[in-house]
Amino acid sequence: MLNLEPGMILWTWITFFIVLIILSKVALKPMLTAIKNREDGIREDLEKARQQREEAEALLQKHQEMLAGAEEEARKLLKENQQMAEKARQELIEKARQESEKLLERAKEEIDQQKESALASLKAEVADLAVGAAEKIILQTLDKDKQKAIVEEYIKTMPKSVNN
Amino acid sequence: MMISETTVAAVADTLSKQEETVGGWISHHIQNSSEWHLPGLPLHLPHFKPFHILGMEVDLSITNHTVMLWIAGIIVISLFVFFYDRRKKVPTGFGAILEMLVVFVRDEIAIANMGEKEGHRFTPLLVSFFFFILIANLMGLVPLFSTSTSNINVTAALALVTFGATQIYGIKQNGFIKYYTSLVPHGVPLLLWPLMFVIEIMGLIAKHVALTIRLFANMIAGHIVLFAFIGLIIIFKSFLVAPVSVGFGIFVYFLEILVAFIQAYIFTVLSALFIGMSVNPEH
Repeated sequence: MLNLEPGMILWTWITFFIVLIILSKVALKPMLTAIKNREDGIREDLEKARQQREEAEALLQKHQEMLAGAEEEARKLLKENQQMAEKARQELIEKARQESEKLLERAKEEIDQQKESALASLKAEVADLAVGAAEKIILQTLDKDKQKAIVEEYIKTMPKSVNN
Repeated sequence: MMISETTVAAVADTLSKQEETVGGWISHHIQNSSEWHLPGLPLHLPHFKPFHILGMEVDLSITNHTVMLWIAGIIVISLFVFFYDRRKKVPTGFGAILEMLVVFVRDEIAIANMGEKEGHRFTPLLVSFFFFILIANLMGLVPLFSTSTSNINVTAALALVTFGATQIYGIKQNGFIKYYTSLVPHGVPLLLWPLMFVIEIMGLIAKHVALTIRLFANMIAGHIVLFAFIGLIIIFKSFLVAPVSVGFGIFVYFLEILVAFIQAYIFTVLSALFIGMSVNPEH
């Protein structure tokens, strides 16, 4: 059972080496290459997927930032517009107010003028009427002597140049 | 009185003879022979005249175990050639199992014990070791076949392949002198160095002898136990023993399947470890 048989050892070597050579040439080399290629392919795919995910995340980040920026912009624009509209409204109101004030002023002035002229004409009328009334009273109350005396006096008060 | 004495003696004689025949039967089954015992047709294998070389008698006659080795080799090669379809990008069925085992040997045995670079280089050798030994081990569990790995010469030859690989690649990688001087660990006092060197060389040989004995002993022990359990029926001459014998026999049979895998794995791992140690010496 434990005796040395060099023949058996030789046969084992021959068999094993033939198996080793055939196996590595025919089966193992292509198999290991295929496995390696597949592993490399999977690793590459994983790496690529990771990169793409990172890219997508970066893109999403950018988009979100852009969206936020746009929102901000829109808010700013809206605010500006509101301010501008407010300003325009204020201006319009101011202008309208001024216009109305001016109109009022002018109307007042006109009224004053009218009043003035009315008053003037009224004054003249009143004076005429008073003069007429006075004439009538005077004509009735003055006699000849008195008239003569008044005219005389009036002539006396006149300047000398009129006589010439 | 006389009759009974002779009867007892006769019975004892027969019993001892039977025990002898059982022993002979067991050793006959596990030993190498020049014929393949097919039922009713003992196949006589060709016998060659031994020749002498280096003072050794080399008998290259084809024996039972030689044939078993050849069959194991053919099975291993056909497994890879016929059951693994290279054109498929993703293997299915049996090819997937084969590929899984190859990847296991590559990653868990070769690369784990040798490192990335050397692991890839020695993977074909280790895969061949694993499958060849596994198939040879399992063949002993198939009727009409026997285990070639229960022959110490076969396991010695396989261990010598490992030994050769450690020496050749160790020297190739590190240079002749550096390889052998690096066997002795660093920090050994100068006076102790020669002694340590001798011890390390002995250890180197012992490692591979242990590799030989481990596989051989494990494979032969299972068969002896299996045959012995069956032999109990004949020794006790009683059918009552049969259920126990057969039960234990079946148990041992399944144990043997497990042992066949474990021993193939251990042989491969230790080979990887030894080659890895000699290729990348510790410094």
